[in-house]
This record gives sequence, C-alpha cells and structure tokens, in this order.
Amino acid sequence: MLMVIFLVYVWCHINITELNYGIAEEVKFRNRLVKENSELKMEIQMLKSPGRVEAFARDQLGMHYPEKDQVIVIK
Amino acid sequence: MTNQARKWLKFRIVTVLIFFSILFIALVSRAFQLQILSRDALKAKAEKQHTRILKIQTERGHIFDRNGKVLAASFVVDSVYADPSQIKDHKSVSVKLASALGLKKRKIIKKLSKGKRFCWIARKVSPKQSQAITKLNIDGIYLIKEPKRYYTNKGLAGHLLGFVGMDSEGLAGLELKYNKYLKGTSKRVSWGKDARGHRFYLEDGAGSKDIGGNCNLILTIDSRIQHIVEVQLLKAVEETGSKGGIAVVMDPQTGEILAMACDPGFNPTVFSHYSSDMRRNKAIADCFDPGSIFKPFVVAAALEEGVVEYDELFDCENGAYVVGRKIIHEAEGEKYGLLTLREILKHSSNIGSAKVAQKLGKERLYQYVKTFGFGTRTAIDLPGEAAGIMRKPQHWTDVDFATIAFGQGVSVTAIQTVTAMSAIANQGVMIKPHVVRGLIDKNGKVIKEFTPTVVGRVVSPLTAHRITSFLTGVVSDDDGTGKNARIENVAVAGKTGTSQKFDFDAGVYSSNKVRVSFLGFFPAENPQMTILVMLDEPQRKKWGGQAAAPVFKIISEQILRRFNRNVGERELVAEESREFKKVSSSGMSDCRKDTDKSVMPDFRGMSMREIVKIARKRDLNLKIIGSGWAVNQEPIPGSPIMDQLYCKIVMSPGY
Repeated sequence: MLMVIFLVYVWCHINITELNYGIAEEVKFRNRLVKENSELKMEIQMLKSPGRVEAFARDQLGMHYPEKDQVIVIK
Repeated sequence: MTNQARKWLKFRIVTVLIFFSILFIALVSRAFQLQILSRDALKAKAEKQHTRILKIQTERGHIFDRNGKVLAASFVVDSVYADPSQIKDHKSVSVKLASALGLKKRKIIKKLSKGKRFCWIARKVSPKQSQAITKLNIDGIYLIKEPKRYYTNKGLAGHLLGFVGMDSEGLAGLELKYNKYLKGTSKRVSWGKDARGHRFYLEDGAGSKDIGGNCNLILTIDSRIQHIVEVQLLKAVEETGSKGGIAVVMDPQTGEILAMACDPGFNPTVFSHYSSDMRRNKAIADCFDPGSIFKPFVVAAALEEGVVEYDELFDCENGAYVVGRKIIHEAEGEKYGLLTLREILKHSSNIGSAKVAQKLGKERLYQYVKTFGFGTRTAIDLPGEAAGIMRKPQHWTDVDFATIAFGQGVSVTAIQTVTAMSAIANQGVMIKPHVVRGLIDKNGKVIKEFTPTVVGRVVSPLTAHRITSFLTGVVSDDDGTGKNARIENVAVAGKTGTSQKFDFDAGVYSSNKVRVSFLGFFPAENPQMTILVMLDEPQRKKWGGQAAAPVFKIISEQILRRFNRNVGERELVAEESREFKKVSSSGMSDCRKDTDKSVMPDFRGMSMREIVKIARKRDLNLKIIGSGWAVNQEPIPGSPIMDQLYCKIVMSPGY
C-alpha cells in the first residue's frame, strides 16, 4: 500500500517536471510571436508612412497633386 | 553454551547495539541539522543553483503623433560579442564572422587579438546576420539582446524627434528632453535550470517582474501635416535655390505645434551620416533678423498704447526718410506719401513703421517687444532653444530704433515669431508652444497630460482684432504684398518679410543675402492655424511675397483640403489593434468649441464677457470673484454637470 502511494507521488512529480519544461517552451514560443508581431506592426507603420505612400502614388500610379484649375471650390 | 560464551555473546550484542544507537543518533542529529537548523540557508543555496535570473533591458518607449501613428519605436535585436580567450584560431573565426556579418576580416582579427575576455564584434545586427551567427555555432562567439531605435517615417520630423546613441540614451530633440520617461528600465526574469542548462518553469516566483516601466510619448504633431510641410518646404527650397528653410504650424488657441520642419532634413536612424549643423533644429535654435514680419507687433504696440489712431495718416516721405546720418528707403525703391496703419502693413512700408515706433518711444517699444516674447525663450518642451537678442533701449541709436521698427537689428527665433503671431490670432492671449500632449504607459494609461499654458495677455482683444483686420488686407487686397498667399473662400491674415542677412566678414548688412518669410494665420475670423514659412538665402525670387507666400498658400490649401471637415482635428484616435486611452487636449480651445453640454466648460483665460456669454447659453449660475481674466474655476473643466448648474470663477487682472 505504502509502495503504491510512493509510486503515485513519484509519478506526479515526474509529470510536473515534464509540464514545466513544456511551459518553458511555450513561453519562449509566445515571446517569439509577440516580438514577431510587434516587428510586423512596425513594418505596417513603415509601409504606411506618408512619404512612401506619396512616392508610390506618384511613381507607380501616376497620380499628382491637383492643378489649380482642377480644384473647384463650391461656396 | 558455557557461561563465558554467553557473556561474550551478550557483550557483542550490546556493543553492536551501542554502535548502531550512536550511528542512529548521529544520523538523526545530522538530519535535524540539515532539515531543521540549516533549512533556509540550504534551500536558498539549492534554489540559486537551479534558478537563473535574467536581467533584461526593456525597450525604450514609443513616440506617437497626435493620431496614434508611430514615429519612433524600439525593438530588441541581437548584438555579437566575443570572449577571445575561448577562441583558439582567430584567423579562421574572423573569416567566418566577416562573411556572416559583412565586416572586414582585418578589423575582426584586431578586436580578437586584444586578449581581453570581452569585445564587441558587431552591435545591433539584422535578424539574418544573427541567424547566420547562430548557425556558425563558434565557441567564444555569443549573441546578446539589445534594443534598437527605429524611426518609421525615415526623416519625418527628424529635427523634432532627435536621436538616441548606441546605448539607447537620448542625445537630441525629444529623445533627449524626455529621456527619463522614454528610457526603458531593466526587467528581472527568473527561470529554472536543470543540470544540462535547459530551462524549465518555476512555480514559485516564476515569470517576469517589472522593476519599473517606460512611457510612450504622444506628440501634438500631426504626421500628415508634417509631411505636407516638409514636402512643400523642400520643393520651395529647390525651386528658389535657397540654402535652407524653416516651416512651423501651430494651433494658436492651444499652443500645440502641429508641424515643425527644417530643410535640409535628416534621418535620425542614421544620424551619424549628417553634420551637427544639419541635425540642429533651426526652428528653435537659430536666430535671425525677422524683417517685415516684425511690423505687426510694432503697430499692435502703438495701437494698444493709444499713441496712434486707427485711421491716422503717416507721411512716408516719398520713399526717403532721414534718420541720424542715414536715409531709410522703402523696399524695392517704392515711394509712398500718406499711409494709414492698414496701408503701412499692406505695403510693408519701412518709413511708416519707423514713424509708428517713434510715436511709441524706445522704452515702450522695448517693453512690448519683450511682452511679445522676443529676447526670451518661449520655454517650448524641446532642448537647445535660443533666446534671441534684444538689446536694451539705452543702447539703441536713432538709426537702430528706426530699423528695429521694421525688423532689422533684432534677433529672433522662428518659434518666437509664430508664438507672437498666435497671440494676435488668439485675441491677444499668448499660449506657450508645446510639442508633447501627454505620456502614457504601455497599457495605455495616461500618466501625464500637458494642457495649454497661458503665458499672459499681450494686447487687448480689440487691438488683436484690428491687427487681424490689417493683416487680412495684406493678403486679400490686390496691391497687398501677401496676395500670393490668398486662398479661395478662406480669409487669411498674414505678413511678408524680407530681411537682409548680416555679413560678418564685411561687418554690414548684405544686399544679396536675404531671408524671406511669410507669417500668417487662417481663417482670420476664427484662427485655427498659424504658419511661418522662411527661406534662407534664396537665389531666385528674393522677396517674401514671391517666394514664401506661395508656400504658405500651398501648405494651407493642402491642409484645408485634407481636413475640410474640421481643420483642427483633436481626438487622439485609437491606433489599430492598440487601445489608447484618449489624451484630449483639454485646453481652452477644446472647451471653447466644445458643444457637449453635459460637462463643465473651461473658462480659464476668458474675459468676463466671454464667460457670461457661455454661461447664459448653458444656463449656468456663476459666482465671479475678482476682475480681469479667469485663472481658476470650480468645478474643474470637463467635470460632469449634474443637477447643480453652478460654477465659481476666480478672476485675476494679471492675466
């Protein structure tokens, strides 16, 4: 009986240790994802910067600021 | 068994019993000592052996514009270092490192051969380079995490943001000014470690523990306006062949700087590629003779003091006015006869302005110029601001006195001129300029909020209104010097300026080197923006009305077109996927424009008449103490109005 209790206790401890290794791995993975996420957010901000958008609109899409006669102000 | 044998057996049993008893007692004592007496010390020792505490430097706080767009952010990247004592073959290691990091082999050998136990190989390398180093897996070569600063919009607002050094210390601009808030603190992370060095989760005290927190900065800058201003300034500098230029956009009612640009610009990410001259924020650090943009302040002073009449005529001496031994001429050789104050500003008459100043007197002119903030720092929240030079009136000769009246012989900064003009736009009340709206922590909680600070009243609302009317004529009249700044359907008030630069080699004012500028605000009836455009030494179009006024017009038009719904967008919009608590500029203008009747308006800085007008609209009962301008109120602005429609206001004449 005592032996059975002892074995269950040991089995629990081994399990806990294994889970702790697992948690450590998952936390590491999470941190990597958080870092990747913030880097991607940063990339979005860089891609959305007014200078880049304007250059893209001008060079790739052939857009330009409206000329004087193209703007009609309605009173 | 004989008796002797029995005795011998008994003796042996007793001896063994005693021996084992002693052994048992010794074991129990030892167990008692280890388990009970030395328990804490041993437990701590064991924990130390299998626990690893990592000290991590947290990332520097981000800088956002007023709409939540990231302007500067930090990310953790790898740096490569070596322990030369662990490296046997320096040459082969150097070859491998050189190809992985794109460095020169000779430089790496030199670093390794110094024989110390630590040396940097490359700092803040790219993710690809750090992967390459990990793959190489060389003994004695290690990676360490360090935060790196990125400026998302490259050079956008570079002069304002400043830059950080290799050790993430702010070295210039806002990075320097708010370094103590932005700078990340170290964070402690504890982990379990087994015999092989593998990490495992610790139930007790696991995870991370913050020692402190870093803050994010929210600016008053609107990156869209900043972009417009920078692009148009650069275009104007190129078109006119100027050495450089400055442009500042300010909200006159709150003192918020919406854009501040200097040309040539610089990219703070690679700040070392630029000279210190190019990195200097010339809008606050450089002093110059303002030229004719100074005239409205002289006229305002004279009107305020009542030494001139609104419609008084001044004899402009047909273009030649003798002062002392000098003859003062009008710009471009113009000749004027009798001019009113309005016409003096409209034609930018030097002689007229000098005569207005003479009526005012040296002392009073000096006092007003000081009150408008010239010769004193505006205390804007940026480092390196200059005060300008304003000599005492005792040191002015008659010629100095006359030339100061049209902005030659005084030295001012761009921010001073914008702040002074904003005071006129804001009914004579001067507000301290500022570029930071607030500080938030990483969870979006507001830590500090910067509200508009009233510097004081410079001129009465009536004088401010009259000057605004004069300045509107400068732009709207067909013969006004500022007609190139005219915007369809919007009343613009402004003044052109062309000042000669002092030639330090010759010791006189140069006739070739000039600074042209345009300083104005719009819409004249309810000013939302004050804009200064200044070009340094243009080679073509050497007059403020020709070179700077069109830039003002283009910038204003683009701003109006983009923000046609509401020029002064105020709300700090939540950035996508990031929750910000709203940092509102709970300043005067917000509440003046505020239509939310459920909250108490901000009366601070208002006159009795304005207060009564607003209170009547909202059915508020007032208790007014003192006279002059509101300095304090109870309940505080923005507090919800419940059933009790009552407000106590303390007034002070010293506003």
